[in-house]
Amino acid sequence: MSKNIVVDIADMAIATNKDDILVTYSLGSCLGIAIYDPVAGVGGLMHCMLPLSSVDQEKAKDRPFMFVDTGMIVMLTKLFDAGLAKANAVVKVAGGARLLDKNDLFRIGERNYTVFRKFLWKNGLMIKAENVGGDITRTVRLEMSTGRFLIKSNGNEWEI
Amino acid sequence: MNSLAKEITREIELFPAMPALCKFVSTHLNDPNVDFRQLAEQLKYDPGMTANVLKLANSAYFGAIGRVDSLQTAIARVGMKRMFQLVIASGISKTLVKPLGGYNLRPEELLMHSVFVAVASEELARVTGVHPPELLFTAGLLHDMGKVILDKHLEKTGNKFLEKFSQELVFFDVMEQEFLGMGHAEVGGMLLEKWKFPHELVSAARFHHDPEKTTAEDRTLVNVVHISDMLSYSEGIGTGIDGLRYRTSREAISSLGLKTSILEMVTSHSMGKVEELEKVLCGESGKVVKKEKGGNRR
Repeated sequence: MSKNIVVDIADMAIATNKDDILVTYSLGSCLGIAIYDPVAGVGGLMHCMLPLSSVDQEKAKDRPFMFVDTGMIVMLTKLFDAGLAKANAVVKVAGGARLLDKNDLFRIGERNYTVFRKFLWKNGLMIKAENVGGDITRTVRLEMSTGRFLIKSNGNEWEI
Repeated sequence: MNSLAKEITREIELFPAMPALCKFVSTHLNDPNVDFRQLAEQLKYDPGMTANVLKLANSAYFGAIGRVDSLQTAIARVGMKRMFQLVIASGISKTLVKPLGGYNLRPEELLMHSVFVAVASEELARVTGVHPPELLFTAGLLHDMGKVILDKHLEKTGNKFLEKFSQELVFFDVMEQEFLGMGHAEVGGMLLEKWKFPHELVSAARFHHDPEKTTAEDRTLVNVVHISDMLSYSEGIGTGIDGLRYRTSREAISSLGLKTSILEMVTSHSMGKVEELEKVLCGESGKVVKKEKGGNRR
């Protein structure tokens, strides 16, 4: 029996059991970041909301997964502790959407993605697949048995 | 007015009145000499409401100093204006917590969205200093009440609505207007008007997607609620069939002097508070609820 582990907004979860499916709902400008090691059988999924912890450092101490920068540090540390090897890490990302009406103010999704890219680049990691931007909300799943990263939006589901 | 719009107008007329206590605080909002005995009289008939109001008065968000165990002390400690906010919040949360099939909102999702907009509106007003925060919490909390009435009519439109909405890149409020003859904003405004709420609250509901159309007097308040609403959608809190298909008012952005960093700060400050209120209003996890959507609705 597979078990759904729900990742709340501004949170992250790690799975090491083959039967687990990590899932997070309704990503808008938020990012759903999945990192998976097929050899070690370790995976994590984060639902982060905002790019930089500098807007609220107090909150970042308490809730590191609210922000891309602090979230990524804690997520990777925990994944390494759980046995993930950097050389095998498969990184996938979805979300970072914006409101249909483009304006210069609501660029949170774009900023989330930029900070995420920068973090990966600095740490020598690459994005294997992504589905970001646009004006849709997304639900994402990481299947631990297969490593599949599934996106669901407007009633359609697909893998990236 | 077409027949559907007439039917909706009639439903607004028939929609249950606010609980007596809400009416009481609403009419005494600006009355410093409110008679506590009158209030106690109202409450005898509603012990559940009393308990909820006290729970809210003791929350960190509404911040009474020291523990409050009677309504009299609650009013004395938090003041009549705060009291108004928490009486309305506890009165309305039962309505907002229900699922809305037409809008594809699961249980608690509309409440979460409304609470987020309430908290973020207060926060945005505080950060920008553009508006006294007093009515903003309630304005944010009630802005989407119209969805509760329109929901079943939207559900009846079925695939026709969904097909058009998925094929054409149109704004959601424009679609509501086209299919139902009225939008949730207008319906909410009519309901709050019927409840004889202050004009600021009526305007916030009625014009939260068109802040340019509101009176100069209410403009700033409506702008704040509008931006907070867009912020909630952007974060995927309370999105349903409408997804991210809304328009942000350029006039609101420039008149509030907003920058992306301000929005990010407001979001971050609001989250913990929204979680606390979820716990008090729903007695549950203390999490901002997002849920899996069923069917082919978004």
